[in-house]
Amino acid sequence: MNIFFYAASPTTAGQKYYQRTLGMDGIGKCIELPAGCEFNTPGALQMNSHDILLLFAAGDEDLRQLQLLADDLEDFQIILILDGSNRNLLDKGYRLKPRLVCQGEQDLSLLEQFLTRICNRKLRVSSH
Amino acid sequence: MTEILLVDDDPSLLKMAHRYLQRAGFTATCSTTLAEGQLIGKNGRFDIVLLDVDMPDGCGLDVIQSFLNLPSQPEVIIFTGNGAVDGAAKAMQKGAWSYIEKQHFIRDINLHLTRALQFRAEKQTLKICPVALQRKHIIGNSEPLNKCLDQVARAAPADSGVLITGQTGTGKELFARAIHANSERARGNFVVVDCAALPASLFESLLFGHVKGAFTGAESTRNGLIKAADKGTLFLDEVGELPLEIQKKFLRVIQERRYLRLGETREQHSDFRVVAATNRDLDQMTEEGAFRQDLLFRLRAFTIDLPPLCERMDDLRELTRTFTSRLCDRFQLDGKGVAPDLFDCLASYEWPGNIRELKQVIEQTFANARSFPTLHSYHLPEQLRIHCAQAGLGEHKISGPGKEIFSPGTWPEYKNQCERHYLNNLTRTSGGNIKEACRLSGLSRARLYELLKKHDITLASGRD
Repeated sequence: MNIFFYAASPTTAGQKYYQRTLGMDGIGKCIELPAGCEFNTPGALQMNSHDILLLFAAGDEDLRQLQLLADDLEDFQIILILDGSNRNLLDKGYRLKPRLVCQGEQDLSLLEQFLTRICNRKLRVSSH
Repeated sequence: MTEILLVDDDPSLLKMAHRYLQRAGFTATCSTTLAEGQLIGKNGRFDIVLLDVDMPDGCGLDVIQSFLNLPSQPEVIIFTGNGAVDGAAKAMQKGAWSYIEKQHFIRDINLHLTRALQFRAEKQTLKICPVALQRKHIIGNSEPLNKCLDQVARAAPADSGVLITGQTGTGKELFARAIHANSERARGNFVVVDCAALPASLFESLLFGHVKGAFTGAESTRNGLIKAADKGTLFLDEVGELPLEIQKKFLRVIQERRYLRLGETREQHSDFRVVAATNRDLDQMTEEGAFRQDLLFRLRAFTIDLPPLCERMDDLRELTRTFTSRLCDRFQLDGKGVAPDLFDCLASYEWPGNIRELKQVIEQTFANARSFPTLHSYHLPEQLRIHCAQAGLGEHKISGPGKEIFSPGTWPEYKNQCERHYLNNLTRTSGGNIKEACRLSGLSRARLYELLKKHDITLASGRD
């Protein structure tokens, strides 16, 4: 299982979260997809269904863009990272059916624990 | 012709109403007691029941449901001499179509009958039309799949808990989404709770929410997943992993739809529906004390047991073509063909990872065949190509699980042989211990017993 990071638009906040993800222990490699691409780049060919996809949305417009891609996103395990804890954003974010929503930097520790548990689970299943 | 059953203990009123209805072109039958009315109802095909409230053998309001449940499922109109407001409310709550007063019978009955019959006609049309089930991404038309879709159609409009069981990769979340999409809660959120991946220390706070300062690090007040699912569906994925202490608290929430955020004393409300999924044997977990029985009862008002892919191989071609076509759409390519040799190869494999595994294989095959107009078996991942080559060694020699077996017959015959072979090995390896056999196979106890019975294998002695 691979982990991919995708931001709806290129922002410094998105880069910051990607870098923080790279530094997380126990989750292996995290591949960054070009921000704003439409999941049809050669890099996206590496994506398999059920892979983990970290989606970053800096604001309302980003979420709207992600929702336009919702059909392509359904095959992946979505983790939504929102820049901040805007309740309105959060409510719209659930339309992407994420397995976890992280609101701002304060949730990065939660994200790390969550990813570690998913990766460990995968290892347990594979070694069965 | 419309048939009406009149249930009233007043003979003069019955006579008047009977005459009036007959003249109006209806067929009317009379009864002076509730018991007699129900007996007549069971043997007739009534469209409407006109039911009095005060009857010598009981209250009409208390038996509305039993009249609604008659074979012809008639509409019930209450008619009473006492037009009390609370009686009307009670009648409506119990499913009556309308409520009229006897003194206005002649004035009102036509309008009530017309509307009730119009409604009934529409209801019957709906029954005849197949339910237009939204089944996004649920692909196939095999008998086992259609059975599950029927269950989705039945479960979706109800508001009760649904438990979806099945092996890993059979599409449990997809079915949970279909239940949500076909329910009246479709406009609300579909909120996933990944019970296996949420850290135990944060589970309660994530589920119920917390107020600022409730614990170290609670910098602001936050609603939990239960609140996010208000007017929507809460999907408990891998519910067997739900910590025991949370199970107790969660049971109260689904009973009362009320809960406390961490650090708060004022109760919150959330109107959500629960759909849960697991690949574990929750009955066995209940026996072992690892899962609460009362919670299990709440979760499985409906149960949908998804078949593994090997039991719906009739869907293999459609699944393969659809996955390929979706990939073509995603990568903005013209359609790609699928060569027969690829289908043959896919059909010779057992798919222990089910549809998820098939999908991933197609994705890898697609990536390998990026510039080819057709997917061939050559493009399959190496491991599967080797399997396919081994399966094709010798005339009709197919590699089964563990050793090679001769199988000149059809796919169901081959699958049957493999299944039997597997079960014999499993009983030997597990030493006839059902718990161990379930653990090794990942099958539920009920499913394993079912398979053992099918192949006439006893746990004590696996045999070929």
